[in-house]
Order: sequence, then structure tokens, then C-alpha cells
Amino acid sequence: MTSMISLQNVTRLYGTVLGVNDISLELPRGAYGLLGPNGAGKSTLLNLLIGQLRPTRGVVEVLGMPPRNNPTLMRKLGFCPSFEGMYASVSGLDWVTFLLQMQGRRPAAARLRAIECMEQVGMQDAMQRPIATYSRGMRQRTKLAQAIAHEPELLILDEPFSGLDPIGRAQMTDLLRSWIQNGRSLIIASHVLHEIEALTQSFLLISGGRLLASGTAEEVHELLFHVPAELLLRCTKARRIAALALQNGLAEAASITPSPNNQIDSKTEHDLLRIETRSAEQLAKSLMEWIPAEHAVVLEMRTADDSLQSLFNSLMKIHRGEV
Amino acid sequence: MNALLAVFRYEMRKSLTAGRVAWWFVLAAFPVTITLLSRWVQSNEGQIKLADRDSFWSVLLYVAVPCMCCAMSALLTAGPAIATELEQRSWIYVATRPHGIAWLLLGKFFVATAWAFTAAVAATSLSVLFVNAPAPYTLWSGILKLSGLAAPAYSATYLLLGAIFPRRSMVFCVMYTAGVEVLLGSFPAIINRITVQYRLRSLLTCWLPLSDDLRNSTALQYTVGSNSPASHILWLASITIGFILLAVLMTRLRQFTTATESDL
Repeated sequence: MTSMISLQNVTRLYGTVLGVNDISLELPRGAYGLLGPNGAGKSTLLNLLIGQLRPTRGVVEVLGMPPRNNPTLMRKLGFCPSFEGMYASVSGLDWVTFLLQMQGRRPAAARLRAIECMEQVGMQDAMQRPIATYSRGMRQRTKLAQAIAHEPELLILDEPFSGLDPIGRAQMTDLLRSWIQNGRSLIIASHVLHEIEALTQSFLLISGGRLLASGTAEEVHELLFHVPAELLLRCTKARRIAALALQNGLAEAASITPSPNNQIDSKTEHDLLRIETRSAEQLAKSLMEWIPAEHAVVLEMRTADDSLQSLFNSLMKIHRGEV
Repeated sequence: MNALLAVFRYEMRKSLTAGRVAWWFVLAAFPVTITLLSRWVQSNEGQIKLADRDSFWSVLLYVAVPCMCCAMSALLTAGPAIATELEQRSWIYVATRPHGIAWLLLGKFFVATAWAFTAAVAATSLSVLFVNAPAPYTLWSGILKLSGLAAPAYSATYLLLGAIFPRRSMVFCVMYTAGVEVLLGSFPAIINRITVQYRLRSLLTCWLPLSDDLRNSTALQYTVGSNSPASHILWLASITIGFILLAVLMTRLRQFTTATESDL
């Protein structure tokens, strides 16, 4: 089966400015989040995927086809850009109908399908109104309706949650979840991590035009074993455990915050031990030996950076050469 | 074909704005106003000789309708066809449809032609009511035939210019009109044959009643062709189709992105 997305050494230059820098990846069908800060190259990458840009170097394939000027692919692709760009004077329903007709549907069939899609995105009450009267959230939903109306195999969304209120976000998330559950493919670009976390655990991290990491959250976490990480322990005998970690060269630094009603290293109170390490895996294994040997009581043990945001921050540090 | 019809209907509806309709009235009213002014001058200064009336009204309506009304209407509609889509950032929705840009350009071409030709029909039909030509029907049908060729030819020309220069498309269209169609088209040299004006002027001498004096004048001898009307029609049809295809090709080659810093 062909990959959903195949990029081979893809570079895109705008004059002397790098938009995308030597990205290679193969993605099977599924749902992926494309994460990166503003200016990371997300839009350039999406433009390459929808065929609006040619790569300066390398090969782009989407659903096994080159995307540039490819009508066959355009029938299988739904795209929702980050900006609005809709005609203000026409109604949302007319606009979606028009774009469906551009897909080759007959007027009556296009109209029926457009009504169905507008209802699906919760726009049934406002679909006959001119787009000029729509709120930001309504426009986002109308944009999504045009992207899904022709039932594409692959849906590409650029910042679809932008401008949505919490209810709108929840509705959009539900809609996209059901899209994914129906076995359809999705690429969603955002710079807000929790938006993507709510939809998929597979993601691509991009910054400075480079692909920093790709895969599931777990796969990317594996990359971090040699990255400085922080381990937090709320335990008794915190001083002793910190000393062991430092003596064995598994900690770069350690700090202890005593519990409010306690003196450091009390045998009964639980202090907060923070260990900075470059060998998180090894440290974790060693702790499993030290804790019973020292008769320490652990109430809590976790990494300080277990969110996607901190993962992203760590990868960015590597990319910038700060680590 | 569904897509083309959809674009035509949609663009037509979109273009039915107060401003656009006002422009249509202005363009249609221009030849009528010129006609009425000419009649008023004639009534004050004395009537033109009967033998010269056909020539006078033929040339006046030729300049006012196909050259001014059609060309201006096409310029206003077809010139910014691509620029407006890029400025509004609505381009991407059409560009991600199968052959979307080709249908869009073709649809916009037909819309521009429709606006230009209907203005020409209105202008000619009203103007002919006020002319004192001996053969008003010949004048009316001749001007409409010329307009029927001028409207698509100019629409295709301005569409192509808009595709080549999406930034400042109107400026380039005006520069083209003044520099190529007016100046070069009137230049008594072989180069004027590349212009739409040359072909229309040549057809003017075939289809409209002109006096022998005018036909044999030096000015016309060097600025009109002696080929058959069919060859001029074929030429105009060729440039119309050729320019549309070139405009489509240009947009396929160019890369307009969804980035904030658009290629526009």
C-alpha cells in the first residue's frame, strides 16, 4: 500500500530563505498533527502537500501521486487554510455548493450535499446568511464544511481551531474525531499542542523548516533518553537518594524542596527531590534499586516534562544547539 | 462543464454589485452620450452631408462601442480577475479543485465577455435610435458584430495580462491599452497587425458603410488590412483562445501560496 505522504529530501527555498529544509518522511494513512511555532514552515509544508508550491529540491508524493497540478489528487484532498478568504457577499451554503460543483457535482446534488455538510458542522441556522455576517467561529466551520464536502480521502487542516470559542472547539474536535474514527486520514497543523493531543497521538514536530521528530508520542519520547530531563520525586530520604544519583554520575544537578512542615531529609516527611539527568532511563532503573535499599517511601515520581509542550521544547533545544 | 457553469453563474452573481452595475451603465451610456452630443453639434453647426453620414456614424460608433465600451468593460472585469482572488485569498479554495484554476479563468473570461458585450448591445441599440444615418440597421448589426469579436478578444487579452502581472494588473492593462492598442495599433507599420485594433478596424471597412473618400484615405490604407473578413475573424478567434490558454498555462506555472507573504 502506498504511503499517504512521502517526502524525499524536500527543500523549499524562497529566494535565499529556507521554508522547508531537507525533510524526508513516509507517513502511512492515519491522523497526524503537524506542530511547530509560527514561522516553523508548517504552511510551506502544507502548500507543498497540496501542490501549490513546487519543492526546490526533492520529491513530494501525496496518496502516491505528485500533488502539483494533479486533478486526480485534488478529488481526494480536502484543504482548509488558516486564513478565511471567503466571498463575503454570498451565503455559506452557496459557497460550499459552488465549491462542490467545482468538484464536478451536478447543481442539485451539490446543493443537497452542501446542506448536509453545513448541518454537520452546526451551521444549519446560518447557512443561508451572507458570509459577511458570520462570526469567526462560523467561518471556521464553513471552511471545514467545504473541505469535507466532497468526502476526500485526506483532509489537511491549517490551524482549524483558530478563533473558535470553547464550545466551537469542542464541536470541531468531536467532528474531527468522528472523521478519524471513520478511517479517514487527517493532517492538522497547529502551534497549540493540546488541540492536537485531543485528536491524535501521532505527530510531526517542525521548526526552522526542519522536521525535528515524527511518530507517536511514545516514539518521540524514546528520542529523549539522552536529552536532559528532570525527574521529580516526592519521597523520604531525599538527600540520600540525591547523593546516590550524583555519586553514580546519573545526575547533573539535584535540588530538594522540603515539605512545608519539615526539615530536609527527615525520615518521615516527604520532600520534593528534583534531579536533572542526561540518563533518564538509567536513573529510573537505579532508583528502583536505591529506593527499597534505603527504605525510602515514595509518594510521587514523575518526569517534570511529560507534556507535549516540554517534549517540543526539548527538541527545539537540541535543534538550536543549546543541548 | 459543471465546473465552468458553476464558475460562470457564481462569478456573475458575485459581480452583480452596485458598483459593477453602475460601471455597466456608465460604459453603456458613454456612446449614447457621444451620439447625442454629435447630434446636438450637428443641429447647431449644420448637418453632415448625406453621403458622409454613414461614414461619420460608423467611425464614431466604432470608436465608442467596440474600442471604448467593450475594451473598458473587459479591462475592468478581466484585468483584475486573478489579482482579486489572490488579494481576497479565495484563490486556494479553487486551486485545490480538479482543474480549478482553468475553470475559474474560463468562467471569469465568459463573465467579462458577457458584461462587455451586453454593455455594447445596450449602447449600440440606444445610440442607433438617435443617429441620422441612412442605414441604421446596417450600422447596428455591423457594430454589434464588431463588439461580438472585440469583447472576447479584449477579455482574453486582459485576462492574460492579469495572469502575467497579478500585482498591479490594472496598471499594466491600462499601459497595454494606451501603448499597444492605441499607439501601436494606429502606427502605420506592419507591427500594428499584432493588435486587436488592427483586426477590428479592418473588419470595420468590410462590414460598415464607409464613403469611398474615407476608404481611400492614406490613414486607413496603412492601418487596415486588405485580407478577407474570415482571416481577421480567424485571427481574433485565435488570439482569444491562445491568450486564454496562455493565461491558464501562466497560472499553472506560477506558485501562489497560502502563506501570509503571498506571491502577489
